[in-house]
Amino acid sequence: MPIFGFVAFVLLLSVLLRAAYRLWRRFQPRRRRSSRREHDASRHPAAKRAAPPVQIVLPPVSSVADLPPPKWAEPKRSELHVNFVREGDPAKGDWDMTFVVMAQARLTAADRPLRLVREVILTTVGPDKIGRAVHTINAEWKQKNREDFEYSSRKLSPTALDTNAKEWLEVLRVPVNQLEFARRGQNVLRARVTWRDGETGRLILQTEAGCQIEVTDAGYLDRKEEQTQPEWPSLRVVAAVLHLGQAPAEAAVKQLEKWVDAMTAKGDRQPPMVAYRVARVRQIMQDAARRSESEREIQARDACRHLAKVMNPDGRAGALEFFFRYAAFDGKVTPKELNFAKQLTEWLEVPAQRARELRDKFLPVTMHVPDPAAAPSAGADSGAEESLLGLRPGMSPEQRRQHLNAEYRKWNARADHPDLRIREQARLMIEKIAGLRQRASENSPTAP
Amino acid sequence: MKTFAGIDLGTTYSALAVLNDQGKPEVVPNLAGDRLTPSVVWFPQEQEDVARVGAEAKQMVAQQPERVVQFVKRHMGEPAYRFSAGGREWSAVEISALILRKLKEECVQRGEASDVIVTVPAHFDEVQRKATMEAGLLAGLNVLGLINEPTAAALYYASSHEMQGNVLVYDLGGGTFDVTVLEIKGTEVRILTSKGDGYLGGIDFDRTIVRHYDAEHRAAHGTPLLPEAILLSRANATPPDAEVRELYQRLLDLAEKDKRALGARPQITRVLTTPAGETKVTLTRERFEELISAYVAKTEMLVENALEDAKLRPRDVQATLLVGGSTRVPVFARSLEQLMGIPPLAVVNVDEAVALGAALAAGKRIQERSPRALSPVVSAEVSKTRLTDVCNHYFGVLVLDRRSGGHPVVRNTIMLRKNTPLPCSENQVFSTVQANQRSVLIRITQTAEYETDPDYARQIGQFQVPLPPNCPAGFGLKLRYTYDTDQRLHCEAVLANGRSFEGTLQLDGQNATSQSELREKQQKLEKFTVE
Repeated sequence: MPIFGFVAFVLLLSVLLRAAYRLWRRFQPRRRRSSRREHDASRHPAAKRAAPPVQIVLPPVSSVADLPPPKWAEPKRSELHVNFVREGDPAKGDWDMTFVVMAQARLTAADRPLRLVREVILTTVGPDKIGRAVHTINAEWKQKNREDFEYSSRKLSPTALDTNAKEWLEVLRVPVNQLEFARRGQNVLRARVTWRDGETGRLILQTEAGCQIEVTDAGYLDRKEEQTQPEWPSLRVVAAVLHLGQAPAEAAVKQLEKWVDAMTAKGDRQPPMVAYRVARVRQIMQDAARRSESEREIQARDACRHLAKVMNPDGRAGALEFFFRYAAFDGKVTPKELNFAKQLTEWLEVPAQRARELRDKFLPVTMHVPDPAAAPSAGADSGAEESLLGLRPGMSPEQRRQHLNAEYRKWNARADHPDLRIREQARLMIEKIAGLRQRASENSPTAP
Repeated sequence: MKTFAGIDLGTTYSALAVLNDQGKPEVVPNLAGDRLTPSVVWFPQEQEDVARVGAEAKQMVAQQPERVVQFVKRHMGEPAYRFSAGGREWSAVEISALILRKLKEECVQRGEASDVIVTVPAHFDEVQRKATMEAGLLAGLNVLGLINEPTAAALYYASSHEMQGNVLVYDLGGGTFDVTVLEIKGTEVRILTSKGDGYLGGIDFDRTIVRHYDAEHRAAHGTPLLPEAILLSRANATPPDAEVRELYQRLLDLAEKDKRALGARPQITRVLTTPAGETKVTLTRERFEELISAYVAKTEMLVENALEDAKLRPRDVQATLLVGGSTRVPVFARSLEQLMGIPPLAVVNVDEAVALGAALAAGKRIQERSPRALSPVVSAEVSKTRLTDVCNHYFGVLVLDRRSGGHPVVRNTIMLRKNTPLPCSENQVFSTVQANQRSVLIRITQTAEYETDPDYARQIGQFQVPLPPNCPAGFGLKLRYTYDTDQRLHCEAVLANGRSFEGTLQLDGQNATSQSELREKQQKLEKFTVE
């Protein structure tokens, strides 16, 4: 009988230990904050209940089309499993992607909760390998991965049925570079996202090239790379050159904050987003102020060249406009700022005509201050005026005449504008044009 | 006896003309016998309900500058402009109404004018034109319509002289410069284009001469004659200090005299007496022409722009006509001849051509409305020419443009193009932005050149169009702009469901004048005696 009791005790103990082990295994992913690697594919619970994979072939980038109003995703559950299958060799960059989680919430109240996503578990299951990355979204993770953690939100148009409904998207970029993929065969990427507050979500896969594929139960959508607002590279540009050698002036930063606020209103409006961007502004400005002048110039040039590669002409012009607005905050435009504007125009590859239009609009001649170091001379004045009016060296007299006529036509049309600043600017420009025309007539060989 | 007339409401001088029994236009002198009435109004201190207009007021400019207002045409369409005199504030429209009333009440040798055509510079926009019409109504006139000044002059020349082909009218007056290119084929006068500058005229040349006096004074005594802000201002700036005001007006009077004298003499010399002492000022014609060379350059560029718009070269123009008193300054005629390759014509008194043409235009308008109102002789004379005018500006609407691919941006979309023969009309279809929009706000713009940037487009009016309930995004709306021969813009919106809405232009809020407000202003003005 004691033997029977001992065996019963051992059996009970093994059951209890097994249960404890299972319990421990179950909670282990939530405690751990670094990625783990498991090699036992057959014992991985996810592998056993794998849903039929969704074949995804990255579609070619199509022409821009507005995202149609989303269908409200069903079912409403707190966890969503999606399987992806991607052909190709990860080592060759076929899997070069960032996993983007978009949280979508449908509310009838004006406010929306933040941080809908609590945790993302990414698992890759290959023929012989399983990689797993767990990202618990908390303050520490956000701080550590701040370059990848980005909030953006977009308010979508209300549906016809529920005019009060607002839909918000929260975007978290989670890199998959910590995962390992099988070199041959198919790799399956799975994502399990736990949402807060019982909200639902949709998963979207985005490649480095910016092509987005949303995988939902209803199918997938794709759209061209969304033009991002040029704040961050532009801020680097601005910070790199405007307050050379000085800490950023509080007034200047406030002006930037206003602009960021105004720009945010055009696309996605959300007070915490604005505050976040404003904090970024200050951070970048302070960082730039600590650098040397040559470092800042290199930084600006590199930023511009990067922008020139990734942005379309409108975006690059927007970056230039941003610089002009910032330069104009104190009501004065120095020759140094004007010269740098020319350099930016060249680095950003903005057409000269468009750059001049932007400059005339945001840095009007009424704000220009003379260079105190420059010796006054007719030649210097004339050169500056010709540059201001877009006259290029090498233009023939006839070309100069036609260009001045076109400029006069443009500014004369603005001479009666209700805005006094525009009227005054038009008056000054017309005087310069008339002066150049008159000097050209005097120097003309046919002049009496 | 009531009659119809044409009125040239000028920046510095105004004139009224009627058609005589033979249908020929004639300028009617005022009671003092002057054919031109200075556009100057004086509010005497000792007579609170009296406004004196004309030569007498002009004489008081230097003595009581704070009670005399001139060059008010440069402020037409400025809702914020006010002239204070005798405890009352006067708008540009009200002051212009006083000048028109003077003409109406004094130029009565041929009967009292009741139906009139008033001239405006070609570059005047919709706001300024409506302000001019309102001035006529306040003066108790029945304004049949408006006509551009160069067009009026061209009409006069075409009807009174044998002229065919392309003609360029060069109208340089006291305050404005306009150039119009037209084509005369048989009896048809077809305007091709007009361009102008509202800040280029005789008063600017006078100010240039005053700046020359100041420079000479500084060279002699080391001190300026006047504050720099006054010397550089191009508006009708009134210095705050009474002594400076008086000095400034005196200098302007002298400058005007010297300008006229240089037309006949190569040099003038005068002595200026100031608290700093005496300054002998010499001004040669060459030096004067050098001082105003920038203005000459501007006129040349405007002429070239006008030719470009008309798609003509200088050699395609058969005649150039000089209109306006400031064309008497020789350098402008010379510059025009150099530019066009032919000497310009000034076949009548250049100060009166615009009024004479306006009288003809008034006759045409009366003939259109009531053919029997004119005698056969007058009717035949008036019918000698047919006028086709053009749209003077670009008219547009502010829309949200989603085609740029990025964020939607507001753009000015052009509906009616400048230089389109009148009457003209244009439709364009737009759509709503969002679902469940309750209304659409149509914002009407006007520009002198083709402009898509909304910041440079002048918004001249707006009206709201209500939409049906549960309107989906993309709901269609057709907008129609029409510009008639009276130089008036009409806007209509037609919805996809067939309902249409007429736009009532509310110009710039402050400019909007309801009928009751108009009557009230009329009654206030009637209490004033114009002498």
